[in-house]
Amino acid sequence: MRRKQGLLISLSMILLLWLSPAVAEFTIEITQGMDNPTRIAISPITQGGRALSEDVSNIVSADLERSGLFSSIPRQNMLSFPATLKDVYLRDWRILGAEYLVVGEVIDRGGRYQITFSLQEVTGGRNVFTKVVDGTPAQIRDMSHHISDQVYEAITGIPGAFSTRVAYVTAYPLNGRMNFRLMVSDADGFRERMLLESKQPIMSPAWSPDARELVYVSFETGRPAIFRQQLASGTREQLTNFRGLNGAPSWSPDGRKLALVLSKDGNPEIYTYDLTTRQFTRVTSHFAIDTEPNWTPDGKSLIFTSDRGGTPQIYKLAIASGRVERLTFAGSYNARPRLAPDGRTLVMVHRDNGSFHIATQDLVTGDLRVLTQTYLDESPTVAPNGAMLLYATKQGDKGVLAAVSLDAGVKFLLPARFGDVREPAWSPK
Amino acid sequence: MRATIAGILLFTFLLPTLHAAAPVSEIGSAPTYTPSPIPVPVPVMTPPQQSAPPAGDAHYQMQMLEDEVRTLRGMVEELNNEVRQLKARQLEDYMDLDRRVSGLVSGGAPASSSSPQGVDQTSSAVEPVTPAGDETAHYTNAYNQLKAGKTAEATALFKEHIALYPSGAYTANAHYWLGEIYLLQNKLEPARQAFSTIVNSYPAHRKAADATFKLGQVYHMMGDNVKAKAMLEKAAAGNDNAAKLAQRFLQQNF
Repeated sequence: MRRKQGLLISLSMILLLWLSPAVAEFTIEITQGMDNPTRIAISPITQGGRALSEDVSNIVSADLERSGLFSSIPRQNMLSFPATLKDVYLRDWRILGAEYLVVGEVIDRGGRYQITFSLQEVTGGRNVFTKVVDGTPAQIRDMSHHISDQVYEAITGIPGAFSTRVAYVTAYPLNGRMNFRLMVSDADGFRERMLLESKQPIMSPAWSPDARELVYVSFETGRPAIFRQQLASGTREQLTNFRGLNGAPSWSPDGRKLALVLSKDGNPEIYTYDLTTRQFTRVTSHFAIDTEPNWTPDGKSLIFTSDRGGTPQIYKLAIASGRVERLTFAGSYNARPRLAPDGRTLVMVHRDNGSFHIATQDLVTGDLRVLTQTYLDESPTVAPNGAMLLYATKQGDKGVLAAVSLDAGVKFLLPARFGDVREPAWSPK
Repeated sequence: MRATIAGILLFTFLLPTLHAAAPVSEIGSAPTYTPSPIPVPVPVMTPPQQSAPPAGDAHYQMQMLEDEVRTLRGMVEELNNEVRQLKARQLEDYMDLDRRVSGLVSGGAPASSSSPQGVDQTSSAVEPVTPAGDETAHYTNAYNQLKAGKTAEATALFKEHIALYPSGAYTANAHYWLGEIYLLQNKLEPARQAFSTIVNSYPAHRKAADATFKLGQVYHMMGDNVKAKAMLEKAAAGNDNAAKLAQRFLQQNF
């Protein structure tokens, strides 16, 4: 009981800490990159010398730089601006120390843009690929992120995650009251959109596997309730209205179910909710707190946080058999579990010498690795390619988002220009 | 309300027996207990935490028992984990011993267990051929220092060997072991140089495949996954031991 009250108190503390103005528009500060990033040049991609409304090359170089694995050669240093492979003089790029070069050109095909782009290996003089992408003038950023994904994958062997989006919650005072907003932006912080604004707290956004919907907790009815909302139409539906806690929704990989936490039967337990039959099934039964469920990639198990062993630790529940297995043993606090897409790397909030950091644990070897050194780190969310994770932290007294690569080699902050940002959720695609 | 109280009373009576006999994990699933309807009686005059509340307070006792069960469950879980780890380690130790004994029986040099991941089963580095006597003796001496765990002496001797016999029969081996020592000491840049020397200058050497794998590992540790991947894939393409190690490393890390 005491523990439960403690949890509620810390929950309200978090809400209180939230006070400061918002409206996020990110700037990115890379705090730690690779020692030896790959040098890449992105020649200006234009429509026969005419710039588009958004600068494709700049978007691509910003994407690649943000991965920490690349440094791009500034445009003003370039000796030529080739648009196709036949215009490329490798010597121009070898002098600049470029290892790779991207060239491309835009053709207007009856109101649609078609971009032909090529990746050239400068050192060996090899053409890696030439590809085409097309879209409407409103999709220039989508096309640019697509180019970044292709280049990133060709060079690193890992699929890019530049075409993904991030959902998060912002909070700021307005006319003496707190105002909460559920936002979605591109992974680079651009094209931010508001999905919901409320005078009551909004929490725990989570994506559907097709990335077309979100589930989240909103207090707008006076108590926590779980809502489902379509991104395109904005249509929303209230899914739960139980007495007590309705929280921490997580969408199953097949899209058919949610895992969530309800305290309607006395204390917080984990339930699954079938979105078609609208049936709730209780899957944990313990007088301790069971919370923060998240699905394993195969959809057969849930990982969750429980203090049934005296301290908050992470457990795994096989849904079919009901068998529960403890996963974490290092230290006295491990919570907010998420699995990387490999199903093997556990990401969590780990208390280390009294401060909260994001850590990974290899579920096969058991090796624990603390990734972050920032302050009060929470809510880790892994990119769909498993290369990076986003989390919420504090910069001064401001809530900001930060990112770190899963090998801890690359770190950057995404400070919002105004106010507090919380609870990021990286879209699954 | 009545049902709840009855449930709690039943639970209180049952608990001592359960506590004694059943495994901790079973207790959690047994009772259907709803704590909310009964307010916690807090003594007004005294701080609740310090002094014991009235005896026979079922709710307070329940809380104590829940806390106790949680603590015990935590201990059981941790002990279970330790047993699992010990079992795994025991098996590993046995395998290592077995490897070394069979190495001795078959007359070869004992497999070195000094490398951190048991990576080096390829370490029968004392060449069967015997060129100039001094050269072999010098190299064997250096290698013996390494086997004895005297890495500082071994480092000095291997360096000396390279200086004395820049194109000798064991020069590549000396580079290789220097690389291993640096890797063990986490001196990544010197390790990279040593392994690169073999990869670049002795591509046909027996140690070249191992060096390629190690170079991949070093790049990985340095954070350069692009180069690491290139090296590991190169090593993985063969069909020797290094190839297997590289394939496994690639699977686990990429």
